Amino acid sequence: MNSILLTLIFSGLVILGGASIVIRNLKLACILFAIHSAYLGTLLFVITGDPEGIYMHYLIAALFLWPFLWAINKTHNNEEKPVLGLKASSIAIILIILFSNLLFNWDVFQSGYIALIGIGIYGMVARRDIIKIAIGFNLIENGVHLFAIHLVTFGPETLFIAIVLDSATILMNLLVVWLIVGIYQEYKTLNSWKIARLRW
Amino acid sequence: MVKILSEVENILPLLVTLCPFAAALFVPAVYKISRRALNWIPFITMLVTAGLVLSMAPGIFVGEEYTYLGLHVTAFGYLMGIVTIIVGLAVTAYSTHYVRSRDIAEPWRSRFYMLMLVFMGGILGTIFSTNLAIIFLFFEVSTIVSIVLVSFEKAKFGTAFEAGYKFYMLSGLGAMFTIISITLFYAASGTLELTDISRSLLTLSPKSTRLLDYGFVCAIVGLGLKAGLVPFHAWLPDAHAEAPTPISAILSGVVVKTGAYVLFLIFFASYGAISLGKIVPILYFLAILSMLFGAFMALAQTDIKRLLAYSTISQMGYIVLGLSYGSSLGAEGSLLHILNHSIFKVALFLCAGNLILQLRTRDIKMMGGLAKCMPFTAFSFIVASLAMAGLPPCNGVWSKLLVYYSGLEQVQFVPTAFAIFASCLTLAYMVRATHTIFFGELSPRHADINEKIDWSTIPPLALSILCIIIGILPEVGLIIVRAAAQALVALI
Repeated sequence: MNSILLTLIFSGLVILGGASIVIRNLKLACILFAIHSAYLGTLLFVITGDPEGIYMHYLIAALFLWPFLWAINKTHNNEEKPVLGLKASSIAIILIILFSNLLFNWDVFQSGYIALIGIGIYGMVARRDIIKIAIGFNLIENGVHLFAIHLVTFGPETLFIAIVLDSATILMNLLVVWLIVGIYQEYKTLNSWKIARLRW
Repeated sequence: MVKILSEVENILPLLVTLCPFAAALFVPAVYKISRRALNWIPFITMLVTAGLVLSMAPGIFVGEEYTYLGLHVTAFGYLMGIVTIIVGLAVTAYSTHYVRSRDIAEPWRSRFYMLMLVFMGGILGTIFSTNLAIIFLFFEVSTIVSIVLVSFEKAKFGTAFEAGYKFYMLSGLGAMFTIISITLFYAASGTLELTDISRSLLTLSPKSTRLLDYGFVCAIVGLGLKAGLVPFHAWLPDAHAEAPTPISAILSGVVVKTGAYVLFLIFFASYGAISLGKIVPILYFLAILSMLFGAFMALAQTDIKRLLAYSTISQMGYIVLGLSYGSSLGAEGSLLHILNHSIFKVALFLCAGNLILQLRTRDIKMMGGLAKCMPFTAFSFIVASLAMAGLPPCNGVWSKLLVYYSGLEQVQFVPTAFAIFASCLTLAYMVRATHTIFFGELSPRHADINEKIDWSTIPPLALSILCIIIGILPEVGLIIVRAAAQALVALI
């Protein structure tokens, strides 16, 4: 019973992450990512018993959503054409989830964070829109957070690193919003493949 | 009285680290009082910081280590502190001129100084710590601030945002790899204090050794990104070229070295526990690749700041190569090269800044014959170029010789041969750049340029004279470098 519940919980987390990469409506993708982040915060609180997860990840969710929605209003809501379409992307993400499960012998925790990191890397590589790349980057951060929780025992030192990592993520998200708006004004596109005036 | 003095002495690392952060808070207030004084705030802060750092010297030379609130100054960190204050003093003095010449208006001028001070504070915090958690905190502070600073001149160069975006992406990924590495080290050793790690590694299980190996490979990627090692260097030429010149100088002079600092602190702390047979060849490979790739790319550049950026990649190869030998002599060579490279590369960047300010272009093909009208910049540039190429009587020759010699001592002939070859390439691209910029025919458009002794020429001149002083009297640099190398090797 417990293992089924755990599988359901981690599946929800990974599916929310995967959906935020696959969906081409940027506002919806950002909302899904914010839900994913808040979900992860709650999960971290349940695992560690420390409210840091809740405070920081709810803060990450809020401070991700509002600036990104503002940036989308200033730029565009339809994602730049990705390398792979909806069907191929969905298959790729299912394959990542399957592969991570096979790698860790269906251990939900370990395969959960590997899948999140894998989906994040996929988002950064196979999507062209900078906003999607930023979501991918955040997914990797969330996966790394779970990885750290899994590997080391919870204590004051790890709590300090978690707070630094989460605060850095919040600041990096605000920074990338500033960069996104600036790039759009200069290049009139958020297609990272076309933002290439600086060549070797 | 003695008790108070000893308390003050203990909190010196904290004071040094907090000084730039505190000064950054005062910048808006100073602007309200005097706009002229505002320009001097970073320089005065660096002077105070330099005084505080130098006051630690007597203790460091007798083998004392300063520890306070998670900050820990070893001789290695102290060497990096000396490098930071040399670079900081030169760059902050230069930026008073730069900001005026670039017409950076308020409120951006205050923001520039504030960010620059926070940047320096982040760097000082990183190098005055041996605890991975504290290092990560200050690392993130300096990274985030440096991304903003790289995109600072967005109004003048539309591409500044692109450089900032690339820097954001790669330093973000670097931070992820660093945190994975820290997690693995913590899981294997149970401590984040690098000076304690070697003790806790004495009784390691095979599983922990494997974790350490993975952790170190992640550290190579995460910190190699910061250090600009090939193939993780993509951010470096863009960031150096698009950033304001004082920031390019800080990036090249100190920031890339903080990556190497943390990487080799981890390397020496876990020396006996990681699989050296697998890890060291990776480091050799990255060092050789960086040396050659940086040098060949620099040969092909016509943008002066990109040329200097690629040469930074090449010179970082020497630093990593010397430290990878794991010997005392190799560490001495590399650490001396850290000091030397900071001095001559900052001088070169500041000279490049002068050229860009006068000619309004970064393309060296548009320059020529400028030695006649910019004699001080020409002198500094030529001396610093000779230093970088490793020619006497400048400082670069000693550090490169030590790296070659330690390679021969360790029977590593192939890396040494590549290092000598890369040094020949360095001479080639610097001769090409110097000849194109300062000799040949002067364009009539540039005939009215008249250079004076002011805050644009004093910092590069002072640094080039320092190159000659260390070149003639290498003991000046070696005194502090030897202590740092001993502290580093003692971690094993």
